[in-house]
Amino acid sequence: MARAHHTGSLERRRQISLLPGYVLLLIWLVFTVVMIGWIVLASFSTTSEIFTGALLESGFHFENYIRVLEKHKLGLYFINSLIYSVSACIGIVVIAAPAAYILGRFTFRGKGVVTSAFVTCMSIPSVMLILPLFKMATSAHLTGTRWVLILLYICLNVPFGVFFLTGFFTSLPNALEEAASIDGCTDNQAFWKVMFPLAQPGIVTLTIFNFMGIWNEYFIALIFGSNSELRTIATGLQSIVQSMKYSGDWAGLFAGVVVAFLPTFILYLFLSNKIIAGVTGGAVKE
Amino acid sequence: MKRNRRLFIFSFLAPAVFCVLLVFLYPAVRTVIMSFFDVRFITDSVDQWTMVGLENYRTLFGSSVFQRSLWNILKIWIIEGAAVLALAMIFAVILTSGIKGKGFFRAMLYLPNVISVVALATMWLQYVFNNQYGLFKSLFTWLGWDAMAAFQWTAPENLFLSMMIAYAFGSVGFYVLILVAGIDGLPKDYEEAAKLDGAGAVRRLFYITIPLLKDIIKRCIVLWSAGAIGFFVYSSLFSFNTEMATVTPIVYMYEIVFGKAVGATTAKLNAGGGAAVGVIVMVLVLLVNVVLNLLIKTESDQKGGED
Repeated sequence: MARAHHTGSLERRRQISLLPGYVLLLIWLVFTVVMIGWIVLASFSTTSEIFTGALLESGFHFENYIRVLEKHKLGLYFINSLIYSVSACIGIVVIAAPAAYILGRFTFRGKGVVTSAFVTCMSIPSVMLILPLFKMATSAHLTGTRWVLILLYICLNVPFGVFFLTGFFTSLPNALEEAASIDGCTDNQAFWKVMFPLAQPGIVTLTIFNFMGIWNEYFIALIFGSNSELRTIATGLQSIVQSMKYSGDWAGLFAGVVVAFLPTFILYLFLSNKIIAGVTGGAVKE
Repeated sequence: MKRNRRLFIFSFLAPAVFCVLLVFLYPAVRTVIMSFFDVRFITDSVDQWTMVGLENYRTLFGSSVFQRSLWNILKIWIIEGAAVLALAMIFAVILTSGIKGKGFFRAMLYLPNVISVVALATMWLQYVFNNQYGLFKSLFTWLGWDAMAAFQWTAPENLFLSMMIAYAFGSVGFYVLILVAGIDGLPKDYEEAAKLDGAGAVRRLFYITIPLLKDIIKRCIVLWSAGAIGFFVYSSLFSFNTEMATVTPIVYMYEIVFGKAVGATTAKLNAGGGAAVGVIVMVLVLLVNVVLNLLIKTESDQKGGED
């Protein structure tokens, strides 16, 4: 009894010594919640309510969203971003997974060179690449189509995909391939029917990262998708912000902000554990 | 059989290797070559290029805007870097000190990293820093700090500071995740022994946690450096006036190649100069990594040296 009491008071003392930590975290939390919460409320208010500080006084104004999605074409940009992100995510896995499988499980001459080539690519800043890529896209008559961003997002993300998935394939047990080959599978079938499904946890994590990265990407989209029909949600939002600052439509502007951050925000609410594990796993492991 | 196997390996590797050659190797080599030529427009074909040697580099380093951009990324790299990594370390120590709700707070700190940078920067510029209904203005007015409430966050002379605050908020969570994972992976006995010997929390942090985390802190610095040198999105979103306050090399490159970036409206189109900016950025990244490798010897390096 006495001992339990003792540890209880120790625990209480420890929690008190942690108080400054709690305070700092709570300040950060309140700031984040107020910032995002205010933006959401403002997106349903009128611009004059935003300036007088009386958010939502005249009820919910869903027309802010309709205005920004239709008249300012954010709906189109949303669909564009969806097309870019989904097709690129599929393309990256289709190209990177087979290569990662080979690098993770086979030995052949030149393997070291190929592996280090992928790693080196990951450290080349994209500013080194975009000028020739722009010229190549123009020569291939790809500018002005959605293909240019889809292809770029696939190719630019393949090296990281290969690097990320190689580890997953290495860790799978050997017995599986042997069993597959005894059952008469060719190497090709063994990969798509046995190994590819087994690497699914890695592929899912990679795809979540690729999706969020491409959804939020700005630099490449700005250069290769400047045509107003091809804009992504990020570049589209920026052009809407610019125009709305002059037209004074702050309510519509904040509605646009909410539309842009909602998809990845919702994804994060459901998948934060997987995302955090992916970040720390990739960054801490060598 | 053997030939089939080789064909199989080739067919599985070929698409990825093709991507590397097409989108990384060829463009990188071409950018280096292009930086030694006078190229006016980015779409000019090679026969319109004129060899000028180091002229592009000379022009760049003689340009006051480019000098300003280098100065800006130096400030972001050193000052902002020290502030963000110190803040991340404080949060990481708090999160690993046995508080309740560790997972929740960690997820909250990382949240800005998953939100679109454009949306995040707009929240800061159009809400937090707004001088009429802004969060900072309301907060400081409520606290009675009138001088702070009257501070013009988006005035040209304060824009760089505002950008640094917004960027710190957006990036600190990533480093918190890495550091927390690092601290969680440390053996507990050193810390316990030091605690028994009566070492305080601050002493334990500087004499035990930080030295043991050397590898991970170095990786944080490497990642931070790459981000600082390639700084673009915040800078381009925070340069809505004609001031040069927030210009960085890549914004400058965008301006002299595409002529659309807000800010540097006076530069004349010069794609060769843009290529030179790319090369300079790449060299800076390599240089920083070499210097860091010399300064911070990690265990994996030492092991590598013995092999």
